[in-house]
Amino acid sequence: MANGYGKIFKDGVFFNNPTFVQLLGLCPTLAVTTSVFNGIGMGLSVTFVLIFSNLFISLLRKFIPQNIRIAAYVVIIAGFVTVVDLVIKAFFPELSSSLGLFIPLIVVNCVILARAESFASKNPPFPSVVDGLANGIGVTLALTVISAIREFTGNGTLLGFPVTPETFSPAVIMILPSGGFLVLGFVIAAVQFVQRKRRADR
Amino acid sequence: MMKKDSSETVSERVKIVFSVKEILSVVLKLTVVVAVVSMMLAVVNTLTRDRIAVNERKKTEEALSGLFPASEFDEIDSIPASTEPGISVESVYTAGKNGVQEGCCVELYVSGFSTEEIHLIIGVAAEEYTVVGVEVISSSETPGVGAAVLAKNGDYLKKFENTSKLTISDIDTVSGATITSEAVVSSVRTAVNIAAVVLGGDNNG
Repeated sequence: MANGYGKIFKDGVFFNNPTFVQLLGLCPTLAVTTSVFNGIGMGLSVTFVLIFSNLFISLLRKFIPQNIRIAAYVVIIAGFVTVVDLVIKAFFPELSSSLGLFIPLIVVNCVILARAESFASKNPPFPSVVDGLANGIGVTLALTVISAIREFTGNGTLLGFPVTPETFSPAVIMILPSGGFLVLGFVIAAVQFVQRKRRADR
Repeated sequence: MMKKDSSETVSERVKIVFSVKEILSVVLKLTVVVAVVSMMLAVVNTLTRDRIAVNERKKTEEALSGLFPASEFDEIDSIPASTEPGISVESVYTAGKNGVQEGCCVELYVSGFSTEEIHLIIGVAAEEYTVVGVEVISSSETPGVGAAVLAKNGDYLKKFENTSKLTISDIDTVSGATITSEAVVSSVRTAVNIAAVVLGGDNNG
C-alpha cells in the first residue's frame, strides 16, 4: 500500500497537478498570484479545505445518497471554506485584506469538487486525506511558482522585499491579469515539455 | 456504447427518487449533513467573533491615533451630507486634547478602479482646515498601479499633507492610475468640506 500512497502523492503534486495538468481552478490562480505572500496564502487555504473536505466526504461516502451527493459535497466544502475565512480574518488580518474576496470563492474552486467526486467519494478516509494533501501541495506549488515569477518581473520584489537593483524597472503588465495568463501559459508549456521528455525517455 | 451506459444509470437514479421512502431518507440525510456543518460553523464563529471585531476596531483606532497622536476622539452623530459622487461617509470623529479641538477625522468609502470600495480615514486640522494625513484602511486597487498610489507612507498620499481647500486641486493625478488618484482627491476634498462644517459649526455654537 505504501506504493499506492506514493503514487497518490506524486500524481497530486506533479504528474496530475491540479493547476498545471488538469487546469482546474484557474480563476483564483490568475487572480491572487500577484505576490508570493498571496499565492502561498491561497495555496495553504485550498490545501486546508481539500484535506478536510476529502476526509469528511470520504467518511460520509456510504451515508450520502448518490442522487444528492453534489449538494452534500458543496455544503461540506462551503462549511470548511467559511471556517478558513473566519480563521484568517481573526488571526491573519493582513492576509485577509489582500485575499478577502477570493477566500469565499474557494467554494466553487473546481479542484476541491473534483477531488471529492473522483477520489474521496470512492476511497477510505486515510488515502483521501493523503490525496487532499497531495493536491493541496500541488496547488500551493503552482501558485507559488506563478506568483514568484509575476512578483519578480512585475514588481521587482519577492515576498515584499526588493531583490532587483534600482535601475531595473518592473514590467507592470506582469501583475495585471494579462500577465497572469502569459506566465501561466509559459509555465504550463515548461511543465509539459519536462513531462513529455520524461515519458519519451522511458 | 458509453452513451447507452450513462443513460441507463440516469433512469435507474430516477427510479430511486420516485420511491417515497427514498425521498424521505434523502431529505433526512441532507438535513443531517447541513445540521452538522452548521454546528461546526457556529462553534468556529463563537471562537473567532471577538478577535475579528477587535482586529477591525484596531485598524481604525491605529489610523486615528496616527493622524492625531495622544488625542481623544468623539464620534459625531449627525454627519454632514457629502456632495461628491461615489463617496459615502461612514463616520466623523472630532479629535481633541485637554478640551482643545485639534481637528477631525473623516472615515469614508470611495469607489475606485476595483469593484471593492477604498476605505479611507482622512485627518483635517482645525486650523485653516489643512489636511493632516490620509490613512488607507482597506483597498483592492490594482497591485503596482492603483495600490502604489495608496501605498502607506507613499509619495502620493504624502503630497496631501498640509494642503487646504484651495491647494488640493494642485495635486496631479498619477498617470496610469487616474481613477484611483482622482478618488483620493475627491475624498480629501469631501473631508475638508465636512471638517469646515463640523469644526466651524462647533466654533460658532
